[in-house]
Amino acid sequence: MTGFWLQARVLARNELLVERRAGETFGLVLPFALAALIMVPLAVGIDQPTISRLGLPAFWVVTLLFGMQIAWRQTTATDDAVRDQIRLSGLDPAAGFAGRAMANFTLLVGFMGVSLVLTLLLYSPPPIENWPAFTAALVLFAVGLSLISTLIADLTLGLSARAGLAPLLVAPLALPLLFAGSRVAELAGEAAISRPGGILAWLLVLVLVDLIGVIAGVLSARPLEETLG
Amino acid sequence: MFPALGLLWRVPHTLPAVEPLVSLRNVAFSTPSYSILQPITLTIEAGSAIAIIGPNGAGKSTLLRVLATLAPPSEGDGEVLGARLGNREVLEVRRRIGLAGHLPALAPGLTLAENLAFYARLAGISADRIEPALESVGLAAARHRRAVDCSAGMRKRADLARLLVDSPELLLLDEPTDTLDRNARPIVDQLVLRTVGKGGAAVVVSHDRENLGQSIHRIYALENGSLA
Repeated sequence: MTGFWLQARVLARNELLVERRAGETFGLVLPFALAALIMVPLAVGIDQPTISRLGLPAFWVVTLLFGMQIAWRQTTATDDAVRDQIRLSGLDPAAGFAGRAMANFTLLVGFMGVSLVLTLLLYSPPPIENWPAFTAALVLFAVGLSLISTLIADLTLGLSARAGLAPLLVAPLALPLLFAGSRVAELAGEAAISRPGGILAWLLVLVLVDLIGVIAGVLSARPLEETLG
Repeated sequence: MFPALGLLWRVPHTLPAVEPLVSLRNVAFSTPSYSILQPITLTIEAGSAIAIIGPNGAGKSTLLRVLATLAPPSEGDGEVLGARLGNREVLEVRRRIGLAGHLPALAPGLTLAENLAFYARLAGISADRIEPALESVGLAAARHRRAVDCSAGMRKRADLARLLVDSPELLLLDEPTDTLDRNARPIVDQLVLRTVGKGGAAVVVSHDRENLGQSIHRIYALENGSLA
């Protein structure tokens, strides 16, 4: 029997290898997300101040709606025979959850990085003065969305309506992440640099959501695995 | 025909002081709408190899999943490798069960070697065992071929190679010769003999008696969920 984190790392690595071959995240999900980011300015028109103001909110919304799709791409867990073997390999279900969430987090960070660069280029949003806080918000947002979408992906595994149901479940659960992330981004901007307390409070909201995601994921992993059999 | 099998003649796990290895008492399995297995009583001793034959839909694969602790029984009780079925303790013995299901457990986008390496790493088994295992089933040259690019027979061989890497105490094979050509069928016999020779037990499921090799000690018939 191998250790918890070793098992999680092995699973995450395998998920990333499968993804590298399949290319769903960067070949399918990301292009659609970038298309959405491009369409917003097209819809707004040439009103530069409005476009600039919409930049970061558009980034958060696109990240939330498209980023969650990463979790229900083709994974090793979607094949019944492979899932059975993983169960027989002695994998701790909680380590399995951690591994899948780690893989989703890694992919989401790459996805967010590309989306953010395009947002900065297309929208020219107000300059961000407090980059450490903004970066922390990005990371905590990615952690939270990875945990929530992994949990819902596990919960809806095998359901025929999964593709439609899962986003409906993730979106409301991830709303606190959207609120907090966008508020940190706003406060990290030039106009609000004098309010570090506000930033900290919203970062704590992100941390809290992440912690709830960890606890819910780990506690539900074993019952979910045995139920889904 | 597969000389490298000899290189794998090692069982890394210590066998428990459990005899019989499997004991089912009136175990039944049903879904909310359908009864798949009627109450079954079955004992499998250490060092024995049994076969279960029956037509399609008889419940053979379900019985194998019950034995693998993956499907908790709806009724009855029993133990597998000392762990009570339907209880949390089955998680502790799963590592010692080897199942080759009807469909090979291979991620299609990964190569055969990557697939085997994944399971080996998860179980904490040395990757050194992968190459000899693939060689022993005649897949050394195809080890870097993706599973999706392999024939059904090659995937089945790779799935059996996974069990060679793993060396389980309770070996469960579901239609193991289904897509194998005649030359590859000795692999199944070798696997069974190796398992029982080390004091484990093997259960082979097939729809056709002719598919069973020479290594089977006892044959049961399963029809409409009942064992005879």
